[in-house]
Formats: sequence, structure tokens, C-alpha cells
Amino acid sequence: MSLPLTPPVVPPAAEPAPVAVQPEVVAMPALSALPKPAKPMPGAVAENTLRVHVKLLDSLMTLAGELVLTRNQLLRAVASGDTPAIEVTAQRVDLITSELQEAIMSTRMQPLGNVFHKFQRVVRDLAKELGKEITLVIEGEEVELDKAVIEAIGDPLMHLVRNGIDHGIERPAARQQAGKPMQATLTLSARHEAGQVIIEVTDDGAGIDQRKIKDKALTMGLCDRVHLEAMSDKELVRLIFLPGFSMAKQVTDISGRGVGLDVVHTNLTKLGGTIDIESQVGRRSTFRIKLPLTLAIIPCLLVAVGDERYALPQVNLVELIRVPAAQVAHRLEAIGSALVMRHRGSLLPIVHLGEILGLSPQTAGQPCAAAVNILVVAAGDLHYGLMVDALLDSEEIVVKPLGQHLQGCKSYAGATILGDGRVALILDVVGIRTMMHLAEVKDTSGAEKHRAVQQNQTREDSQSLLLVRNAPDEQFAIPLSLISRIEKIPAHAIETSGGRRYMQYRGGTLRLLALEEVAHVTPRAEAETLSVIVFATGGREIGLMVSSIIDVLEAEVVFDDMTFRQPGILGSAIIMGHTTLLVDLFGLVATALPDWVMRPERAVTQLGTQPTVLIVEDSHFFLHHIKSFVEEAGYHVLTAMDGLEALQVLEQHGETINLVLTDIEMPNLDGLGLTARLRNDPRFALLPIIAVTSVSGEAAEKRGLEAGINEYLIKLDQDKILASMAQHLMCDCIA
Amino acid sequence: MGQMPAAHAPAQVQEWIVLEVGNVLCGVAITQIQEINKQIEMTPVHQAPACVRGVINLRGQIVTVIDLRVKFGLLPLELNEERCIVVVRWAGENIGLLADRIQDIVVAEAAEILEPPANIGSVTGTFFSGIYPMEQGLVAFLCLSELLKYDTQVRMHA
Repeated sequence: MSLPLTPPVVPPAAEPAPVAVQPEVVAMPALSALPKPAKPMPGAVAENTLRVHVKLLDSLMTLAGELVLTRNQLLRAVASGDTPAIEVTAQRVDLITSELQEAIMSTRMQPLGNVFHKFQRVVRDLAKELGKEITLVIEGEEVELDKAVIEAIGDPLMHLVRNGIDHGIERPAARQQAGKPMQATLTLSARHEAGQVIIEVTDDGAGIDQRKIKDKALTMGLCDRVHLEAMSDKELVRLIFLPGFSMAKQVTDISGRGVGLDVVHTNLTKLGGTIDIESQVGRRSTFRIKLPLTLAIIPCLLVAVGDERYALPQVNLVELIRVPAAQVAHRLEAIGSALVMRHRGSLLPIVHLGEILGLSPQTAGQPCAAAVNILVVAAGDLHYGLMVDALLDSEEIVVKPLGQHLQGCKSYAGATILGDGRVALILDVVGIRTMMHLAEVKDTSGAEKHRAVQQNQTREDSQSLLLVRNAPDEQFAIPLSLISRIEKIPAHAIETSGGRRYMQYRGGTLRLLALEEVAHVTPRAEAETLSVIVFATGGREIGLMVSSIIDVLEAEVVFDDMTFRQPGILGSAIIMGHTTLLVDLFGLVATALPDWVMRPERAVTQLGTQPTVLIVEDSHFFLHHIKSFVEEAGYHVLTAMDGLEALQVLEQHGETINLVLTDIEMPNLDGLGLTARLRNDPRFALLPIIAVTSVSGEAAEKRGLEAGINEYLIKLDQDKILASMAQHLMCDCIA
Repeated sequence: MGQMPAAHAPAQVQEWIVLEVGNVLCGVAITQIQEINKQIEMTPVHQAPACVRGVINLRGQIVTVIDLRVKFGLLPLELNEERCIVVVRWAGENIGLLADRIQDIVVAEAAEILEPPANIGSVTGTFFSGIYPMEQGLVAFLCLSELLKYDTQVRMHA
């Protein structure tokens, strides 16, 4: 549905820079291929000299000396026909030559600070010219890049800086009016991340106004309103990179010529880089450039899987854990086929590197009996554990690009040559993470997978769902228990004020929301009538507009919470033959109206400590969902997949658990059975137990209460669950 | 300097290296060859496309090695002293072609090169730009651009 308006970012098949020396340098842009700047600007003039650290020159001298010596040895060995000596010295010559080449190539690495600092003058002059007050902040000036790349980056950076100063940053008077400090800040920052160099140009100016982009796009005839409305924020903002796109009302001398950001985009693509924009209207804009490292030296940890060696960039490494053989069974556990480890109060997904690479398969999910080495790595915000066979050295390595045939391998960020001349691949922790989901689902045999699916299906609780339609061919499900009322209204009853929609309702005004405001779904078609789903959250009522109600159904539905996950949508399932998205009413409100949501107060026990909750739930989907909002409310969470497991956890952690949140329908030991056992145990007789279920109904509730459950709530009603939990904690009768 | 397709070959003479790949003799134009290596330490790249045998260190550069046997649908062989890697230049990078062994060098006149017959299998057929009769048998000259091009869709799934 989205049009391919964004220029595709394709890694270039770059020509090598003309070098006199025979060893080709791969993937360096030919300087002649870059557009010449309109005016000469600081940093972009191809300087014919460069600065090199004396230490580097010393090592070059040393290497040259060694090469001479070894060459002499080689000549002697050849002259005397001493074959073994020839082989040995030849190998040594090979090694030294590689090292020499690397050292020479690294003389080309220059710190970005050189380029960044030149902008001080530029910013000062421009600010004066435009009557604005701007401070330039520079971060990461020590980050190094190859000389050719640095030269090529000068132009694009200049353009972005000018753009930020001209369009982004407001005049002091306007800033003051907006409640911002009159002194604006422009930040140039650089850092290494996952094998790339990230350069950001951030201004705390007016941000990028989507409406202006839309208007401009319409005026330029780039696209029609329907498609514009359907675009996500990211897609809209990328329209700026189209040729001729300029939002300046008048063309100033500095920018706004319409030559624009598309040139920046093209230049960066030539270097094999990408550019992204992040913006908050009225607050700031960030242009983020990512450059693949053609040449960079990064510190790494070398690890081994079998007899193969891999390099893990130090920047991605959070922690190193060695679990002694005796503790393996205790600390590492399998949930289904996925391996996890309890670590600092949460569950860390663990995967064996060999498994990700498709090497000799470990028995899926079974921790091995010997001691294990786990690298806790960060893929963005997400942490996970990578299990390897052995930890080797920590080394600084030169990052080399992999050839074009290997660009599709997500697990690798590049390769390097180790001291012994052999190649080691550099791991891409973000790429590995995307592969992990596959590793979790992959089973050793098809039969096992089938059985797991069957089990999941029988385990899933029955749900009462309201099926509704938004756009003509998109179906959504809303948990019936969360709905207060359903109203059918004529379209003209909707009032618009300040971009928000309302309707008169029961003596007051009801705020109205549409799914497409938050989630990436097709907008509702205009029609004469529509339906409004009224529900309550944060103490107020709100209406969700949909085009029509399809049906109410009670079904055992298995939800997939990965494929369609986005704000406002909890997951998806196939219902009545259609892909149906499960609406997250609370998430919808939290995203569309962040000020509305009353953040529950941080939960505390009567003693003022962080409370611990045991959540017992057999469905991954609900467990994940409940765990996330409970943790957000400040609870420490322990989990169990069924009643039996819950008992084990209680045995282990007994005293520390303040409250139990349990599902009813579970295998092995269900919620009622669990409650009965706990009530018969003097240690847990008074422990608050709240049942969360999908089935509401007086009979079920009565049985629960009779068994000893303190309260009986609906799984997806997070407001009520959190309120009830807080209430029970306050009445905690356990000392 | 690419290979001249048999159809528009001017009257020229070219040198070709003949490689043995299974029971096929392939030719690679000398002008496209950077160098030939033997007994190189190969690092396997798991999860790479099947035809990629691994990568090697070529004077500080990481070079992808394509196993010609796999390209032709044969099972790969173990590496030994006979195996050779022919390093060619393609699309701005160096790529290694792994063959069973080097057979010979031939000097071929353009006029003697024949069109590949229609009955070569459809996939492997596009790899060859011409056939050259020799005493040892027919040598199929490789068209590097066809041999080494990769489907970007496939690339995403690698």
C-alpha cells in the first residue's frame, strides 16, 4: 500500500580509488565520482597531506625492517635450496607483508574531530548572518574514519548543518515565545555501533512538521492525500529526500534552493551509508547518518565455537558470565524450546552461537552439563546471552568488509584477519537477534513442533471477543469484557476541534479515537454511520471509532504476538478465515493521548520495599503481556507456566513473594488446584491470590472465590488488575 | 576487458586458463584473472549462500570463494593440494573461484569458439559464453557476469 517514493538505499558497487600499489583496496569511492561542491567549504577540499601519529610511523619502520631481514633469509634459503627453510621464511614474509599493508592503510584513518571542529566557524558565521544564537556541541571527535570517507562526508554534513540552522532552529524571539532557551544547541556527534559509524546532526529547533511535509508534497504533486494519510511517520519524513523538495518559504542564499537533501542522500548512498531522520515537532530534529566501516579498528573479544573463531565487538558486550557446571542446571532453564537464564532479576534469552550458525545442532534448548560461557550482549535496548565454547583473547582488530555475495548474512558485520593470518568473522549481535526468533521456533523434529502447537491450542483459554471492521477488508478483535457500551452514530455527530474528534454523549463530551491514529492500518472509509466502542480507562471514558460491528464470538484463539506487533495492536490471529488484529485499548490510549494515562504510583509493600509478584500463566502471549504492564508498575516479577511450576517457585522464593496472579485453565495443575494447595499450606494460607482469566461468568467466579481466590479479574483489563494488586498489597496481612 | 561472446568476436587470440570442475573443463580468460592460489586456508561462512565455500585472506583482503562444483550442481570436494582458487575481478571486488585442479593454458582464436549448444542444462548453460574444442575435450568458457551475479531477493534470505 505504501508507494515506493523513498529512493531505495542500495549499497554501491564502488570502484576502487586509483592507487599505484597493486593490492586493491576494496569498496573505496573514487573521488572523481563525488559531486563537486558549489562553494568550497571547510573540510571537503581533498587535502594532499595528512597527519599520522608518530607511533604508527614507528611500527611501519619496524615492519619494514623485519621484512628486509626476512627477505634476506628467504633469498639465502632459496640459494641453498633448503626447502623447509624456504617455506618457513616465505610464510613469514607473507605475514609481515599483511601487517605492513594494514599499517599503511591505517595511516589513512583520521579522527572526525578534524572535520567537526571546522564547523565551529561555520556555525558562528551562519548564526550571525541569520540573527540566531547557536551553540555547537561536539561529541565523539576521537572516532576515526578513513580519510577518503571523511572527505566525502564533509559536504553532506555541511548541508545538514546549514539545514538545521536555517530551517530547524528558530529566531531567539520565537524560541522564547515557545518557552525554549534563546540559545539554541546544534550537536554534532559520532560513535561506533554494531560495526558502523553513526554520525548525528541534532538541533533543538522547531522539528519537522508533518503537516508542512504533506502540504508540500501535495503542492508538488508528489502524491495524493489518501496515500499521504496512509503513510507512517517515518515514510512521511523521508519525502524530504526527494529531489526538489524544499520547505523553505523563500529561497535564501544558504539553502532552500531545492537542490536539497536528495544530494546528501545520494552522496551517502555512494559511500554505502544511510540516513534517517528523527524529529519531534517543536522540540528537535536529528539527522542520523550510518556509515559502514570500510576500515576501522575496534576492540573485540575473540570467542570460539568448536575450532572456529569469531570476533565480538566490545561495544556490544555488556557482561561476561561463566556458569560453573554445578550451577548450570539451576540457572539455565528451558521454556519450551527456548533457553533462558535468570540474570539480575529478569530472564535472559540464551542461544548457543553454534546453533545460530547452524553448526552441529545442540539438542534444542537443553543446557549441557559442563560449565558454560555466556556473553551478555546488547542489541539496541535488548539484551540476550550468547553461549560460546571458549573465550579467547581481547584484541583490537581491523574491520574488513565482506564481499557482495555475503551481504545477506545477518549474523556477520564484517571480517578481520587475525595474527596468524587466518580470517575470523565479526558477529553482528543485532542480526543474530533477528535470527534468534527463528532458532527458538526451530525444533529438532517436525513432530515435536506439531505437538507443541497442539498443546498450545488446547491450552488456550476461551476468549469473548467483539469482531469489528475498520477499513473494508481489515478485521479487528476487541476483548468484550473491556467494553462498556457500543453506540451506532451518524457521521455528522462527530465534532472536530483542534484536530481532535468528539461527540456529545450522555450529557458530556466523549473523546473519539481512530485505530489509524496509532497503528499502521488502513483508515476507515467515509460513511454515513459508524459505530463507537466505548470503554473506560484512567477513570474516564473514551470512544474507539470503527465502521461496523461484525460479530461477537467466544472462541479459543491462539494469538501471535510477533508478526503484527505495534502500538495499539497486541497481536494477531486467524478468526473466521481472516487475519484479525487484537486491539490493545490501553496501548491505543497511551500512545494517542499520553497525558491521559494516569501512571499508577510505583507499587510498594507495606514495608515500602519493591513487591514481588508470581505470575502463573501458560500462554506465552498473555504471560508476556501481563508481565510487561506489571513490571512497568514497578513490580519484580517471577513467572511459572502452570500450577506445578508455581509451587516450585514458591518453594524456592516463598517469603519474598507478596502476591500471586494466576490463570485458571492450565495444564498439570490449574488455578483452582493451585489455590487449594496454597490455602492448605500454613505458609501461604494468607497470600493474596488474584485470578486472571478470559472467561467471566458468575459460576466460574463463584467457584474461584470458594476455592480461596481473593479476586477474579479479566486478563486484559490492566487498569483493574493493577488497582486490585495495589489494594491487596496494602491489606497484606503477612508480616 | 571482458570475454568476447562468440558472435561478435573480432579476429583475436586470447589466452585462457583451463580448469577442471567435476567432469567439466572450464575456461577463464587470462585477462580477467588476478592470480591463482593453492593451499589457501579457508574460513567457512555459515549461513552464506550454498555456493560460497568460505572466505580467504588475500594479502589483507577478505575474498569470497565460490565453489564452482556447487555452482554446477555437484557435491563439493575436500580441500587438498590439487585444489586451486582462481581470483578474478568482478563488480569492483576480487572473488575466488574454487576448482578441482588446473588443467592447462590454451590460446584460442576467436573464430574457433563455438556457441554453447542448446542442450546444456538451463541454469549452467547461462554460465558459458562459448565452447572450444581441445584434444582433452570440449572446454566451456565461463561468462563471469552470469556466473557471479546473485539474486538480491535471495540475498535477503541468506
